[in-house]
Formats: sequence, structure tokens, C-alpha cells
Amino acid sequence: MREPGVNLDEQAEGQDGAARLARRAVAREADAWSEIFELHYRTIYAFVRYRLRGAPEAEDIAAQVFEVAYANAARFDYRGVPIEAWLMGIARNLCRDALKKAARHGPESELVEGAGPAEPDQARLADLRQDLANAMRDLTEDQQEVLSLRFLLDRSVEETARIMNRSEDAVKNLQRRALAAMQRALAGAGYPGAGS
Amino acid sequence: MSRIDELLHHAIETGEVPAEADADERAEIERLLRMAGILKAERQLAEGEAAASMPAGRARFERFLAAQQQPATRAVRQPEPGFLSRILHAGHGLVPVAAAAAIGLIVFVALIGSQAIFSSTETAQALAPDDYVQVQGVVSNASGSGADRTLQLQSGAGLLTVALNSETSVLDGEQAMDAASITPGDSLFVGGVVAPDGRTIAASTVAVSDAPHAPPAKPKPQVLRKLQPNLEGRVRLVAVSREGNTARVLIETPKGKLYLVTIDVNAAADLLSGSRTLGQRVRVTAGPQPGQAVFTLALAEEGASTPAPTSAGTPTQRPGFVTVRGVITGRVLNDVVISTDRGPVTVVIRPATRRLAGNSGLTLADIGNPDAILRHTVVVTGGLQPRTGRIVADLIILGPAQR
Repeated sequence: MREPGVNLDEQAEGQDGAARLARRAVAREADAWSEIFELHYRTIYAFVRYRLRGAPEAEDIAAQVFEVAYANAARFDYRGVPIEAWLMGIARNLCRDALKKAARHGPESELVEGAGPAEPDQARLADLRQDLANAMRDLTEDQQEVLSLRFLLDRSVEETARIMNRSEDAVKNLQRRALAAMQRALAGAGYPGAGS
Repeated sequence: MSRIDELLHHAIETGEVPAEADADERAEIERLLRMAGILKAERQLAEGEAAASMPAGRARFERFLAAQQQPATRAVRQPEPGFLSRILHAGHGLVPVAAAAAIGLIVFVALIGSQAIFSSTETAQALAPDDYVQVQGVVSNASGSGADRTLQLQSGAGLLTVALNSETSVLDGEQAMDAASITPGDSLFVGGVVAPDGRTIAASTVAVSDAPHAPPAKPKPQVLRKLQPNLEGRVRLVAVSREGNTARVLIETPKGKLYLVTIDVNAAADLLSGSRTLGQRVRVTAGPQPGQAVFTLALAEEGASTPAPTSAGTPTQRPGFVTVRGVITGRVLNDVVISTDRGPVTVVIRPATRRLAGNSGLTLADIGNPDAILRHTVVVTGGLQPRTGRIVADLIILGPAQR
């Protein structure tokens, strides 16, 4: 579908540019990969951030995504698959592996004796982030993904549908169920803004 | 598609519950809209974290690419016979003479080449990509708006670019200040990670300094290869590699001469955990392994016996970075709780925070494990988180465990 106000020539040029970049990536040109990193690192980081236990793990997984992508460059078919969607697919798998590994090793001790109270505002902020992260991990993978794409990455329903390989109606349904599940999880944690 | 899905979608896009929604639908949509709002509010925090972690991620990926490219280059190189090989296998009577001439030529070229390499090493860069660095300098130009500012910093390591973002802690004394307040002519202490270009610092902390300091316009630091007696000067830059196993300082002597000194990593830890790092007067002493160009530092007296400071400046009376000393007693998610003389202090650990094993007895692998560092003494240097005012660590230097 044509987006309003976007010139068809510009769209075609953008697609050509993306295809050229993808071809250079498949050929493992270092410059192309540096460009891909600059274009997509922040998105990938935000995509994985709330699925994992913390910022260091998110940084590690986000960096791994590009390493895995480079290693598998020869297998990337850029016809019809945007690089970003490919990277997100890799990120999805790496998050899944990381969570399985974490589950095998048991939960981390998150609070150790002697942890004095922080300032009230700091504590509230930290608590909210922890509650959000915990609530997010209680959702299904699809629900996590739709919330990340729609609200943390500000993607439209159309873009989300393309990345998740679903219809737009399915995305709208999934986002409602995901928000409801998140709201239930946060209300269960006593977060006031999520209460019914 | 269900009606409620479409009503919610419309509400998310417009921020208003559609008029056709009945009371039950309206109540549900309002609840879910609040939830969407909470998530959207997290977007900015996630973006800030992503921006802050990007230099480290980029450096890691650059290293990965370099490692991948190297074997590939070797693999595609054709095993063509070299110049010497072609002469030796030429199969005519001049082989011994030609070979001797070729060897002589190669030795000559190698000698010239080694001189060139030696010279380039003498003027080696003080910074390497992915180093954690603290550097003192004077702002020569400032551009950008809001938190995203770019500064040109005249320093002992030459003209550096300092990139600030919303995660950069900007300090004036012990108070946070607005990045927009930094103007050309300001004397700064900058802490951050060196970008792949080797000249840009992704700043985590920037502190306005009281110390008058006029770095040379075209600094030419000399690499110290042999210990010189009574070599003293003020620290203008300290750089530590990502792995924390190599460190360098740039010191400026009272006569304004600059030396780039490779120091033992324990000496770097001592320097960075002292009451002052940049501007500290130090004496270069022999390193742990005599004969190697790796040195240690001793704090030099600031008394009258030392030459009066000239362009090297006087020590600042104002703390540069925020420093916390104590014992790590706990952690909450990614933050550590440090028991200090004034009570427990929670310190934010960022993805870009660097750790030094110091004299903790821990390995490099250990110090990445949050549980392994519990009960160890620690010195944290860093700044104040812009959004929350919490102390945020740029560097943590571990000491022995307390029993």
C-alpha cells in the first residue's frame, strides 16, 4: 500500500539502497556491517531490553545479534525480508536461549543483606522497572514482542505485522491481550497505575 | 476482528476513547491505555540505555569484524612466489650474486622500515579505541543542543571530540549542571570510552574544573621507554583498556613537556582510586619487571621543593568526579550497595561501567560476576545520573575482600 505523502521514486530508491546494503552484507563487507550496526543497534537493544534480566545482559545479547548475523550472512535472503526483521529474529532466538540458560541456573539473588534503602524516588523508579521487567517475562513470547514493537519501539501496526509475519488484525488482537496480561501482572505486583 | 480490538487500536492512535464505546468497553480501554502509557514512558529510558551502551557495543563489534576479516584476507592471498623466491629459482648463473643483492636490499628496506616504525611508535596515540579514559582539557568549541552536545577539547593528547548525550553526567562541583552551560574556554575533566576513531570520547561524566590549565596547541607527547631519574609531572590523561590489563598516563612536566607512560595496571588502579587523578602530581618509578617499558607511579609531594606549576596548572580544590569508597554489601538488580562511613549508598552500574581488579585478588572473569565482588572494598568514580541524581559508576576499582 502506498503511504500518503511518500513519493514512489523515493520509496523505490530506499528499497534499492536497502537491497544494495543487504547484498554488501551478504558479501561480508566490513563497511556494510558497520553501517548495519549503526542503523540497528539501538533498536535491537530496546527490542531485547525488557525480555532479559538487566542492561548488561541486553548489551551482551544486542552485540551478539550482529555477530551471529555476520556469521550467517551467506544464508540471508534479502528479497522481501528487511535486515531489521532478520536481526530481530536472531535477537528473539538469542533471548530464548539466554532465558533457558538462566532458568537452568536458577534465579539470581537480587537483594543481598545490607542493601540499605535508596531515596524514595530512586526506589520507586527501580521498583517500577523491576516490576515491568518481571511482568514482561510473565507474558508469552508473542505478547512480549508485540509490546516491544508497538510501545517501546513505536512501530505502527502495519510494521509490527510485517516483522511478526502476521495480519494487522492479528496484531491488534495480540496487543490488546498483551496489554491486559501486562496490566494483570503489574496490578498483581501492586503497581498503582496498573490497578483496575 | 473484534470490536474491542478496533476500539482500543483507535484509542492508542488518537489518545482518546472512541465515542461509540459503551461503558464497559470504555472502562477496559482506559485501563489498557494507562498500561500503554507506562510502556511508552519506558521508551525514553530504553533509548537512553541503548545510546549509552552503544560505544561499548560498537567497539566489541569492530573487534569482532577485525578478527573475522583477518583470516579471510590471509585465505584469499595467493601463494605467489616472492621477489627473493623468484630470483633464487630463476635458474641461471647469476643466482648467488642476485640472491646476495636481494638479501642486502631486503635488509636495507627492513632497517629503514624499522626506523619508520620506531618513529611512529615514538609519537604513538595516547588513546586507543574502547579505552576507558579520563582526560583534562579546555573546550575550544561547543555545538549541538540540549543534552546532545559535541565539544572540541584541547588536551595533552591533541584535539579531541567529546560527545555528550542524555546519559552523560555533567558536574559543577558536587552539583549536576546543564550540558548547555558548557562554553568554549571551560576547563574540563572528561571521563568516557574512546570510539573506534581513536579521537572521540563518548562521555559518561564531564566535570567543570577550577584548575587553570593551558594545554599546548600542538602537543607532541614522547613515549617513555627508559626510566628517567626524578621524572615528575601532573597527570593529564589516564587510559585503561577494556579488559583492564593495560594502562597509560600522559604526564606534563613543570616545563610543559609531555610523556606518554605505560604503567602497571595496579598503579593505574591506585591512581584512579586516589583522592585526585587528573592534575595529580606523580613521579615515574621502575615497574614490576625491570627492563620492560612498563612503569609505576608514586605520588609526588606538592611542597615547596617541587618546581612551581606553570602551564601544568595547580591542583584543583574542587572534586572532579564523584567518588565513593567503602565495601560492597549488596546489589539490587544492576546496582550495587556500598557501605561507606556515611551509611549505605546505592550506585548505578551502567553497561559501559568499567571494572578494575586492583589488588582484590579476583580474576578478570570474576569481576564481571556481581556476586563475586560482594564484600570487597571498592572505590567508585563516576557522576550523577541526569534523570534521577543517583550516583552512577564510570569505573569501579576493587580491593581486598573484607571478612
